[in-house]
Amino acid sequence: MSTGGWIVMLVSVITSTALFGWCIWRVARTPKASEKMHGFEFETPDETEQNQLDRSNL
Amino acid sequence: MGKFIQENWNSRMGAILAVAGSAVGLGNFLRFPGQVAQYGGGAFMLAYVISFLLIGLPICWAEWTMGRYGGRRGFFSCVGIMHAVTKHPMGKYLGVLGIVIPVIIYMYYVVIEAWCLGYSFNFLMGNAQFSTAAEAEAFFVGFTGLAGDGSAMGFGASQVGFFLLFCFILNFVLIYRGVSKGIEFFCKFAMPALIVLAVIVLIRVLTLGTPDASQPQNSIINGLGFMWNPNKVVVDEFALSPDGLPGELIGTTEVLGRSFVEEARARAELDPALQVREITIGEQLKRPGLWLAAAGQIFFSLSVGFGIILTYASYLRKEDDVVLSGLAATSANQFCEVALGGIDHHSRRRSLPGRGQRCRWHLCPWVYGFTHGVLTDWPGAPFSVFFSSFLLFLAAVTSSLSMLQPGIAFLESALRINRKQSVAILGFITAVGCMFVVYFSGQGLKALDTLDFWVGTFMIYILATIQIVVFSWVFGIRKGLQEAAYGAQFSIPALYGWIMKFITPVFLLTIFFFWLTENIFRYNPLTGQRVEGPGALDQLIGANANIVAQLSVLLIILFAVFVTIIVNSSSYYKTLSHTEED
Repeated sequence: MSTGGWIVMLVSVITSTALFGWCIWRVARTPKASEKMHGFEFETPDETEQNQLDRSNL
Repeated sequence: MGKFIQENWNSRMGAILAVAGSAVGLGNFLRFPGQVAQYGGGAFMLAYVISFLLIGLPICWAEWTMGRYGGRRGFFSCVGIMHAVTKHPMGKYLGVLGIVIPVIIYMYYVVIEAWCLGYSFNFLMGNAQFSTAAEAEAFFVGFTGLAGDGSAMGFGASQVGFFLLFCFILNFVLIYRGVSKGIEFFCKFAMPALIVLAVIVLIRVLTLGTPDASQPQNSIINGLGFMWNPNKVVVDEFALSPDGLPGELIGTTEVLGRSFVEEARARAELDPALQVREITIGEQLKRPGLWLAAAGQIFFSLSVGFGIILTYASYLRKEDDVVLSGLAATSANQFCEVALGGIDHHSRRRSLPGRGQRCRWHLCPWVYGFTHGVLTDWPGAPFSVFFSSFLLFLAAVTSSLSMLQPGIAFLESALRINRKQSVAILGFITAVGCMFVVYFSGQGLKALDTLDFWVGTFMIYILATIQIVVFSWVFGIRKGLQEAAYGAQFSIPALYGWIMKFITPVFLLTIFFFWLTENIFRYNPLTGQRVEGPGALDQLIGANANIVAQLSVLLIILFAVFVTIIVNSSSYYKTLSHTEED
């Protein structure tokens, strides 16, 4: 590989890696952004229906 | 009728990983390296970066913004989002493509996903130990059904049936579990695992040295040079006229490695039939074909124009950041493509024996890309090859999952049905399409190839153009940028307003024009010459019509009509919002 080839490869790889790393860092440092941002569990539509049915049967 | 509820992502990181997972697919690890190598490393990368900034990023931001806007009004599919954004009765019909594209692509993508899983299994179990290209080819032909229609439908380890069934069930189980518990849950594990596997394979490939000592020019370093060198050194071979002067050009070969270049120059001095020349990066950048290829790679790689990002973004909340999330997802895709796929796959393919055996088939890039580099008589195989194909499998699953969600969201909202019903309907439709693709595997995977051409290429150009035009001209660029800025850690630069309104649509339409003329009308306007071989239309009408190609197009039309009928009859799109938003 020529010197130019090394330069192109390293610039491309380092730039894409740095951009990805920066984005992830920005997302991760946002308070409550990385985990459980909405803070509640979700049910599938079928589970919701079943729960409603169970409650009405009680 | 079942009850339908709105879903949301459980975390912002999960949403980003899901969108990145949708974009990171086989094209990152197979198509991109081939494109860089074909069009000359440094020159291609320059065009690639410019295309990313002018096409990829603008459309991504537009899709994220419109998706969140539609989701806040109770619309979770491309049909509803286009309806909400355009605020016009006809707007919803623009979104039909956003359902047709991902569902039809799923029908053949899951087959390729099953190949990846099947290859992983067979490499791991030692069933696929290839020492010659002919052995690797024979396995591929048997496994994929290239031997003849219906030949792939068995359930043995060397046939795709069992692996296809497994992939199909896996996808629908995860989709049934929902956006948060299914897609997000899987992507949170699969994406980091995919990156770890890619790094393992990368390390092994970079330490291969010269796998075949009898061919020292085929080293990993020269493989990297083949891909990344900005200037190319080639040897032209000419037929000699009777008086000993160079005549017609017979062939051109690229030479890599300083010692081999010097050796070629020495041979050329002695042999008048040989001529060594250097192609500079400036000369390469003057080729319009290179710019088209770079723009096309960005376009396909980021999964823009599929309608998937719209659906995923519709599950965001009002205060969720779409600007940083969009940039993060696209940068994850670029990282996997450039830093991992760019170094690994082609340098290995270049350095291993038997490379380039199947390019003559002219199938979609995924298919012939997949057949490269599967010889297993090099050090570290078969585990490295197992990791490599399992990596492709994970990448394929995260993408195929994303192709189902728009269809599920559409059926649930338009028909007001619950998850079981929507999964059953979509499962039946995709199973029929999938069986069609698997059965008609002869004639060079004709069904897969035709669907990929008309849906995986033609339609996504159209939908991407519709999306950026709707965002910039119908929704309004000022309103669009204001909408994007809500909840964002940083705003989209003002310059992008101008780029999104003028540059991106013109760039897209230019690419589409050249693509149409070359692939449909078999004419290259750049050279003014007719392109050899039958065009896509020749396979549908006329003396060279092919029944499998015709059936494939009929399948697309039938599904598009099915979706349009639902859109037309659903009362869900009679109102512009199903929430308290305007």
